[in-house]
Amino acid sequence: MPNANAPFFPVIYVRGYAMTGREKDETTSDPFCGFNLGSTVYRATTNKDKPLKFVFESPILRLMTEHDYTDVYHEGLDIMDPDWTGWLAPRSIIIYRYYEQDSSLLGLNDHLQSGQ
Amino acid sequence: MRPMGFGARATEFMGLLGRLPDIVWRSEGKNRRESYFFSELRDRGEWDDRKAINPGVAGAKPPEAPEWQGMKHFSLAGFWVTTYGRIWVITEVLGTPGKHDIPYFARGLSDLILKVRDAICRPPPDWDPPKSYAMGDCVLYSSLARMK
Repeated sequence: MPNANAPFFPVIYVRGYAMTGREKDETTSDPFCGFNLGSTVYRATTNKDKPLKFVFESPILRLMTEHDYTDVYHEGLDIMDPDWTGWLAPRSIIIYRYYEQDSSLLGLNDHLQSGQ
Repeated sequence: MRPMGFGARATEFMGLLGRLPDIVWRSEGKNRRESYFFSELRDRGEWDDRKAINPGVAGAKPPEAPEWQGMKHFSLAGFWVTTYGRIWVITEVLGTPGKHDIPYFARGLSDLILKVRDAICRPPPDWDPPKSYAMGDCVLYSSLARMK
């Protein structure tokens, strides 16, 4: 049976590779792991040395401002935190914050312990 | 819960792009902040939907952990798009998690998907169960009610 919300289902964003400890800490420090960052530079031009101005607010902002999506953070808690309670609307944005576990800020800092 | 047919989901996601043209960005080289809208590139004739579905584009490789088995993937404008039930999972391909990160990455993602599934299916506190079910937003929503 068709779903009335289709295709506006929850969106889980997964950040790409953060190589260094610093990158992992930066990713951990950002609630949206960079998906809230936009750009004003458009490089897909014939002249690679002369980008054009092109405003891209970010996928998070556009989902929120134009399509009524919301984030899932509540009172400083993420959905995977033990004290998080509530339920999700279909138009929810969830950030998979897996680099927390490997950061020196909030995690176990495994990359330093293992010498990687 | 099991993933729906890949073809149907891919088609549905392409439909989503038509209505949510900005859900996917395309990272372009020097700075990950310099990202561009798939739909706008498509409108300019600078992007090809058929190529976008080719998993080989951008050298994308799916995570290899066993937890990924059963999930369906396709590559789109520099992202892996995974559908799991009625949840979109959009993975930035510009550097997939490194091999050292994959074990907890996959395990944690599985946990997150289950948490989202449960949270979106959980009835609100003041929910009054209906007498009949129309299989609305979530199958589990009705299943939970039937268990009471």
